[in-house]
Formats: sequence, C-alpha cells, structure tokens
Amino acid sequence: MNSFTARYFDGRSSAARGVSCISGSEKSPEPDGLLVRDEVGEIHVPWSRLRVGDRLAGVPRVIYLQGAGELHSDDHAAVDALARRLGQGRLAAGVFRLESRLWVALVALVFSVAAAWLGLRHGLPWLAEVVVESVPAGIEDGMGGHALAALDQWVLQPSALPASRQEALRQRLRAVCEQAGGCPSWRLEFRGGGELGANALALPGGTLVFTDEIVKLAHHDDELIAVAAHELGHVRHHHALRQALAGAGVVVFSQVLIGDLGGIADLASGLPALLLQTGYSRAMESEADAHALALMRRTCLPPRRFADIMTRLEAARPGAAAGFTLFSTHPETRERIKVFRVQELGARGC
Amino acid sequence: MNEGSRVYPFQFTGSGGEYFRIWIVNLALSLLTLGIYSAWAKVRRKRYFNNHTLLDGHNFDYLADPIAILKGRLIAFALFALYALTQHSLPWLSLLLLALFFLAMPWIVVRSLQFNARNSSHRGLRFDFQGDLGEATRIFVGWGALMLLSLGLLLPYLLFRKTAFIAGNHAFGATRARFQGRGRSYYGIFMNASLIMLAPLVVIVAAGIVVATLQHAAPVGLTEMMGLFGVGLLLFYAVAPIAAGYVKARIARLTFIGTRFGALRFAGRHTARGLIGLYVSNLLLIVLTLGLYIPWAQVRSARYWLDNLAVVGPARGLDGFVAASGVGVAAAGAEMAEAFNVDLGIA
Repeated sequence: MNSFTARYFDGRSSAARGVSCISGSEKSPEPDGLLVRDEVGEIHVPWSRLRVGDRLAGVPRVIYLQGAGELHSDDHAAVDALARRLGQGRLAAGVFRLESRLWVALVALVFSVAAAWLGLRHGLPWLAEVVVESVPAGIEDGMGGHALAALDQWVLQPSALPASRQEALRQRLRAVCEQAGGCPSWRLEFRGGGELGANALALPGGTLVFTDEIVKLAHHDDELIAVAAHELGHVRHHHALRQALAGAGVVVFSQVLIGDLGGIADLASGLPALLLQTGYSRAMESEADAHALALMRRTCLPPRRFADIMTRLEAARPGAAAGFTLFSTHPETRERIKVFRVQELGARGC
Repeated sequence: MNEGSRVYPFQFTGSGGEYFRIWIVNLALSLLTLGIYSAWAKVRRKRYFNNHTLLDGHNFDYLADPIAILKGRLIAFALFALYALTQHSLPWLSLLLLALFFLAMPWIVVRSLQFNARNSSHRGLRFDFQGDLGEATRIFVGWGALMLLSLGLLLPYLLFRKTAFIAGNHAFGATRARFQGRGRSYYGIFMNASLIMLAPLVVIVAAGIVVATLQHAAPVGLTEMMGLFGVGLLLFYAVAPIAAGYVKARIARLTFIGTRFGALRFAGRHTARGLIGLYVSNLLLIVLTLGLYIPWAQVRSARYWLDNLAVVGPARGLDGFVAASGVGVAAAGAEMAEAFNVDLGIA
C-alpha cells in the first residue's frame, strides 16, 4: 500500500485542496488506479490516466491526471514508487541522478569543454569535408562567379598585362598540368590588384586570379607556376566551400547548443567562429602547400621557386586580404617557406 | 490599497549551485547526442525556472513536449542550412528565403508566444496567448517599416505597441489580461535615455572649449583633440549600459503597472540602478569565469526580477480563476524564432 499527501488542483479552477492519495481501490485487492480523497469527497483515477512528472531538484513533484487536474506532492519516495509501478520516467530518473551528483557535474564540465573544442576544431571541418563531396559542382561554380563579380566591383581592376603575356602563362600552366596530372579544372584570370597588391586567389569552382603586381614581382615564370600549383591545391580540396560550410556549422552549433544556455552567451557566439576561421585556414594552407610541392616534384620544378616568390611577397607584405590569399596566416609564412627550402635539397630524379 | 486586497509577493527558490548541475548535464548530454537532447534540455531548464517560481506558495509549471520542440528545431535547422548554402551560390534564393522569413515574422512571433504561454501553467490552469495575426502583422511589419522610415523616431511608439500586444493578449485560464498604457510615457523614457547618452558629448564639447580657451596662445594640437575624442568614446561606452538598464527598468515598470488579470494587478520595485548593477556584474563575472558563471547569472536575474515583483489580489486568496478549454500548438514558431536569433522583445 502506497499513500502520500498532495495538493490537488482540479484543472477547472485555481483553488488548491489538500488531499491524500492512495494507490489502490477499495473494492478490489489488486490496485487499478490512484484514489484521491479529501474530507469532501474522492475521485478514482485509473493507471492509464496518470502521468508522473519528472523529478527536478528542490521542487515538488507533479502528477498529471489526464483531464482531471494535477497533484503536487513533496513525497518524492512515494511518487517515485508510483512512477516505477507505472513504468514511467525511467530516463528522466536517470537524468535526475546525474544532476544530483557533484562529480558528474565536474565530469560533464570537462567533457563539454573537450567535446566543444574537438567538435568545432575537428568535427565541423570533417563534416564540411564530407558534405562537400555531395555538393553539386554547379554550386561551387556559382560561388566562384559570385565572388569574382564582387571582387571586380570592390577591389580588383582590369589587368594592364598584355594579352600575349597572359596567354603565355596560361599555356605554361596547362603544359605543367598535362605533364603532372592531378590538376582540377581551372581558369586563370589576371587583374589589377588594387588594395590587394601582389597576390593570388583561388575561387571556388577553379578560377585562379593573379594580380598584375605578383606577375611583375616574379623573377621567373616557374615562380608563378608554383603559386598556381598552391592555389590549385585550394581548388582541389574545395577549401572555400569547406570553410563556408564550417562557418555556417559554427553558427548553427552555437545557436542550437549555446543559444539554449541563455541570451548572454549569444554575445560570445560570434567569437569562436572568428577564432576558428584562422585555425581552419592554417590547416588548409599546409594542405595547399603539400599539393604544390607534389606537383612541382612530378614536373621537376625546383621547390625553391615557391620559396623565392614567397620570400619576396613577405617583404612586400600586402595589407588587406580576401578569399584564399597567399597570406592568410602571416606568422606561419616563414615556416612554410622553410619547408620548400629544405625540400630543395632532397629533390631527386630530375 | 483597497480594502479586501492583499499583496502576494513572487518568490524564486532556485539556487545557482543547484542549477549549475542541471545546466552542465544539459550541455554535456546535448553535445553527446549531437544536439538532439537540447530539446529535452530546454524543457528541463524552463521547468527549473518555472517550478522554482512561487506565487502564494504554489509554483508555476512548464509542460511542453520535447518532441514538439525537437521538430521545430529540425525545421529551423533545415531552413538555416538551406539559407547558408544558397547564400554563396544562389544569392537570389537566399534573399528570397530571407524575405519570406521577414514576412513570416508576425506568424513566428505569435506562434512562439502561444507555444510558451500554452505550455506554462499555475495551479493547474494553463496560460494562453490570443494575439491575432492581423494585429501582429500591423505592428511588426507595418509599424516596423514606418519606424525605419522615421529614422527611429517611431521606436518608442513601436515598443509601446509591442508591449501592449504581448501583455494584453495573454490569458490565465479563462481570464484575459488587459493592458493600459500610453505611447507618450514611452517617449518620456526615450527622451531621458537620449539625455543620458548625450551627457558624454556635452562633457567633451565643454572640455574642448575649455582647452581651446586656455591654450589660445598656442594652437590646439591634433593629439589633444584625438585624446579628447578617445575619452569621449570611453564615456559613451560607460553610459550605454546605464541608458539600456534605465530603459529596461522603466518599460518593465510600465508593463507591470499597465497589465491586469481580472481583479489582479502587479506591483514591481525594479529600479534602473538595480538592473544596471545586475547586468554589469553578471557580464563581468561571466567574462572572468569564461562562461562558467552563466547558470549563476541566470538564477540571479530570475531572483532579481521575481523578488521585486508582487501580485495585488483579493484578500481571500488567488483561487478564483477558472479554466478555459485549451488546445495545443506546434513548437515550430518558437524554435524558428530561436534558431534565427530574432529578438522578440519579451522581457
């Protein structure tokens, strides 16, 4: 026999009544419901119409009587017994046990920090990589066209290079790609750099943009081919789309998860996105460098060419940057140059 | 105070330490289930705050079905993903989505208010929100557009209409709230707030004149002027939270004074000073603890709002309310509003 006291609200008025609840019925020995009674009268609620509310720290339990109001009780043991009898709220009881232990809270804290960090740092980029595979090429082409139009409008100017020079560079790159294989489809464009100065961009969909300034800065055409090989690495690994997807993922992630933690956190949700972008692009730069190095080795281009132009670019470091420029991460540039210089010594078979 | 009426203070019984454990378990389980648990987490969070809110010794409750919230979140997530994807490739489609979203705003506002109200209860009776879509469209689209055209001059009036719409259309059981107020009072609040914001400008101009007259022999250098400008900017950032706290406290006061549920009215003691202190200290502690203070901040906010609020009602008690026949409402509105992070202007 299970009995407890409660406050009863009939669901039709806001009046509260003190009641005692007994699981069972007077007539049959096997209880088939809950008997709710006070000095005025009693009601019998069958098991099927009872729903026991989940337990939460520091507050009374609520038992919802379908269509017949609700009971509020502080007798957690009795209400837990009732819930067990009805087979309800097992999951919620587990959650409540987790919430009542301090060590669980500490474990949850450590886990949350680690999971959020790993998820944002590795999970989202990985997810973006998977999603990129199923994105139709048309979307990437559209992105690239859109980006180039915007750049042409705001930053870049028409190229002053003679058409013959442009065509010569295109032909050289075509020849290298044919010899090496593994180039994604590309289109090489030349523009006046404006604020970008000497720079090269890879747009999604395979459009490479060289500024007139970088072409003039090069002492050897192979230096430009090396830069193109690097930019083709960005194209091949869909870096722009991956970064856009990961960025959107960070926003959703923050909204769904952190948005739930309260409005104040929204203030900070822009920040991780910003911090992570630089981290993502750093990994992408080394991926593109690896692509450039592999391509140069296959075609017997000295890796030094890339290091040479990078060193010169570093000296004439441009201010603003857009898209995948050669200088997404300034402090790492010297490290990257060193890799190409070291490789120079090891290159064989040419 | 009338004869036969009594003050029933609200009470908040939650504690930061207790809520921290719920908060961190919510967070960990949400991460572990890739966000799916967040719907259950929301219900637990809302229930914690509602259940710990007592009026006349009885608590409030939150009854939403997590599945309804999850469905709403999935819809919002899908729409957002579509928007994010098309933003870079098919800008016209993403603009169309954005336009549709703004057109649907009134509907989303009404639905989320409805979802929240219908899933909140007290003494076994549910709340409801009965604002109609036409009125919401007039306010959020019509007056919203006019406010932009007026370069913000209509902002106080828009806020007044929003408050009246939200406060006046709630119901407890069969008792519909009534809201009384005037747009004029909102203009008074914003006038004072503008004066607060203008104070640094006055100080700077005055200082500039003083410096100029003192140094009339030698011309004022650019560095002095820049320094003055920097001080002005700092002062501006210092007074911004003061103005914001002032506006929030005053609007809350007008909302509480103007709203009645039958014979019940509200009495609030929220002050601009109290709110500013609360916000600034919460923000500082959250930043200093790298976010760990959030649960305590939320509990402190709830306690401040509720401990300074009371209901004035009949001396014989608050049990004279009766039920209305209620219906459920899907969660999509509320969840879409949340995913797109739209401020609904609800305190």
